[in-house]
Amino acid sequence: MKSLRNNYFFKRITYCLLVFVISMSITFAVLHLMPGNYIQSLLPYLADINPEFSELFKAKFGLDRPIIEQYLMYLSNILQGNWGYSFQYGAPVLDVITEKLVWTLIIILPATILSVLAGIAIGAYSGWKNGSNTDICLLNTMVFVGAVPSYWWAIMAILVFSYSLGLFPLGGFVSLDALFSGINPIDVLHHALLPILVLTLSSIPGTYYFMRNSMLMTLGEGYILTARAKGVQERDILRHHALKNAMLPMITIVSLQCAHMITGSIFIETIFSWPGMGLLTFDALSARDLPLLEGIFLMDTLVVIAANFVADILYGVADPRVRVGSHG
Amino acid sequence: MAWQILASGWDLMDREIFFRAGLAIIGSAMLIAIFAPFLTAYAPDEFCGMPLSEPSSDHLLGTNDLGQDIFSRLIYGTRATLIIGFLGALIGVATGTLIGTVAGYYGGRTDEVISRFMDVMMTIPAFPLLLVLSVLLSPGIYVISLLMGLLGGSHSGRVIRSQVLSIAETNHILGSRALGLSDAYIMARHILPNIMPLITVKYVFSAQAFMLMGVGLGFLGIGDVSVIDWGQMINHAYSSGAFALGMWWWIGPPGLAVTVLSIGLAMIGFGLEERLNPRLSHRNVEATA
Amino acid sequence: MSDGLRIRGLEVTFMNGQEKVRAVNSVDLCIHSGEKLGLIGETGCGKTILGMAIMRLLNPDTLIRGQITCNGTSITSISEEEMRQMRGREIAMIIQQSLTSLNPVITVGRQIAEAVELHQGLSGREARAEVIRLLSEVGIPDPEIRLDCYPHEFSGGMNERVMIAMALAGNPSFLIADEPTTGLDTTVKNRIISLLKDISHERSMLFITHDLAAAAEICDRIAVMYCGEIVECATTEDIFRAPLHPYTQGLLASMPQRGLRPIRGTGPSLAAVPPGCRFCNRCRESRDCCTTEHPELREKRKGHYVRCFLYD
Repeated sequence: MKSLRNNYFFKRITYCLLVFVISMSITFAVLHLMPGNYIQSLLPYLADINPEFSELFKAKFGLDRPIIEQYLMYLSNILQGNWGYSFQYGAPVLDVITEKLVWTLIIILPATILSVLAGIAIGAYSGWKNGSNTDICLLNTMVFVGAVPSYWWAIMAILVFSYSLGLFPLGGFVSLDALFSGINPIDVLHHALLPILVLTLSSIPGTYYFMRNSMLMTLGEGYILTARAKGVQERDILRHHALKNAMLPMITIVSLQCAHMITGSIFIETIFSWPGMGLLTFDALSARDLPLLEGIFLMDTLVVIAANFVADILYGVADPRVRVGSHG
Repeated sequence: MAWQILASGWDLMDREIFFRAGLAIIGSAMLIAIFAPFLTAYAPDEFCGMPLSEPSSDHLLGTNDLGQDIFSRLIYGTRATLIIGFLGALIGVATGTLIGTVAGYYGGRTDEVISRFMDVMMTIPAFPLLLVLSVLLSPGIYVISLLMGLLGGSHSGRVIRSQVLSIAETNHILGSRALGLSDAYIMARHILPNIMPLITVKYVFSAQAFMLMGVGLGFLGIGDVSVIDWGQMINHAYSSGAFALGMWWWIGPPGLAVTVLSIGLAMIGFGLEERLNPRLSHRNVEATA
Repeated sequence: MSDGLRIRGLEVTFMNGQEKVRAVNSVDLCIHSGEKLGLIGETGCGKTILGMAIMRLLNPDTLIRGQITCNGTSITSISEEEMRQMRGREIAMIIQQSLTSLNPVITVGRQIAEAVELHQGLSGREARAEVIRLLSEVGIPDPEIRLDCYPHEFSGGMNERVMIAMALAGNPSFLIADEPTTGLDTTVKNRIISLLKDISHERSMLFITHDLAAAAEICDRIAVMYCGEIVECATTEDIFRAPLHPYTQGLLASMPQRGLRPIRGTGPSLAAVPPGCRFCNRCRESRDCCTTEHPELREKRKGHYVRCFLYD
């Protein structure tokens, strides 16, 4: 049994590497396909801000060597953590990204937790009461809520809560007082609240829909009937039989949703001026800072790969059919 | 008591009514896009009024910072949004149908290779890649549609492959092969019609996603500046400080418009899905074991 | 404790969109205390539905008419909560297809313990001890270890035993066994049959199956069901020695031990039942009246009932 599982892990890891290599190849290709000898014209910009980095760039990426060598140097550079230099900030790309990543996580993690709890709870309830008026009501509501793009929720939130009602700040992560009194966590929280709420709201319909489907599939299984035949109470059937099984596929769904939020937070962060990876992406786009954009792309790929991997492991732990295997 | 009335009201608002309402919304949008010149008093790029003025009888939605009529820009912007959505979805679903059908029909090695390819495509985050590519290509709306379609093709490809896999084993298809009909013919004439319902549903949902993404991209500053695009309108508003000034008549309408279209497509999509896949519908309570 | 199960005029109708499908048509049955009745029929004849109707496990949308009493309690008229309290305790059902009828993510021991805790009021270590006792009663070796296993780790035969153990947890006086031997190979089948014989000594049982030979081993009486109706009902001996209904005769002839001759044709779908006798399109002895008039179940000999114009 051990060898079977080790084999599986080996396959997964190879797959992850393959995806990352492909991503790196894409970024390499784009960098070199840029018209007008992009890199050569990039260097003067970089040299303006930080001449040291400009030289490092040239040397480490071997810009005067043949293309194959450049490719291999590029791959080894990326794997070592040298992702190039942003000419906007004149700093190593990876450093810039990781600094901002933390801020993104500050709003993503609470949003993930909230939307997962809400989505699973409402979805499970809807599936359990499937066919009832409540279920239909919820389903239809979720269709509407899910059809609204995240940027619309963000725009509405700012217009209504920040501008009209003045309950929340118009953006940013701290108010001007911070210049004088330092960063106050409560203040940051105040600023984070609307982005978190908007992120949560846009993710709930997806989670709801999948959980509801999972619950419906589970309810059609034979062991639910067996539990009823045993005389088990409805709420115990829900808790011990239905939920346990319906939650399993959600492991994968939730990991992917989290990854999706991280890679897709650009609109919300931009509208709320929240200094995370999303806003970084927006600025990089405006400045056409390709090394930085590519770094963000690679980081996003890593996030998705990691999410898939984590989901696989968790699933392996949670589902006894995978964990234990059969002794016959 | 009130809750029950509300809930039964929802039930009356059957999927059928939703479906028709969705069709009405999208139909109107298409008409608006086509007849834009007749619906607006000003040309969208015309500098025709006092900048930053509020809605009035002259300018239904006021003017932006360049003195252009927002209402006209909104109407004309329908075109770009619809094109990106429908064209992108067309390319996406066509790509997905092609690779999904080939994979499901031939099975074996071909299927393995194509499935791996689709898996990789789905793991690589499409949106960030789109951003990178847009710096490289500076695309107009047609190229954007092409890119979105190609990158998103694997989503429909997967689902179509499953369905084709189950159809390909039926006696009907095996019989056709025994008759010596060519694979391409069988795929086109026998398999394709059977998966049309699935393709249609996928098309509607893809169009919804791409439409939203298209406006989003416009907001990020990607896209043809010569074309009027709701996303770019919001971007323009954003960089002109309209948020801080609370100029809801500039910020609101483009976003509202795409939201309405999105809801319309969602209603069509769910309505179709209900018709085609009764197992997941809300009416079926029967255990299937 | 002495009344047994009485079914009078049971009708079960499914609403399938616009269609109405009557899966069980006007069934009268009687199982005395301690008696074992076999319910024989082909797939789709309604026998499982009959079993589920007795347990009131059918979809709430389903229309059920008629009367079912068990040990004096009228099952058809009590509330859902009262019925729930009877399930597992007075009547228990061994559901078919044991592998899919067990929860794959909960251990076998836990699933049996659930029934034990519910019906015997035990918990913790006492419940565990009882689970071990039940597992050994149904013949599972090394029960102390096995109870921490998951269903997918067990073979088909062992899972069937687990289902039986769960049914016994409440010490019911009435058991419904739905296809307990289907899908098992012969040696395992025989062992399950002898297990069922052992556990049904003091209990009444409704043994639902399409396997006549298996029913013959355990049951005192056999009822043959066709297309939603009982077409013959008699002691096991009478059914085998002197079957009256042509369908029963056909069933016997199709047994491997008797020549494996199948009955020609196919039965009507329950959605489109013909007027008259439902078997007549496959019956060798059919007459004109069989296509237009519907025969009633009558007692031809003492204790031997048959639904056929041949004997009217």
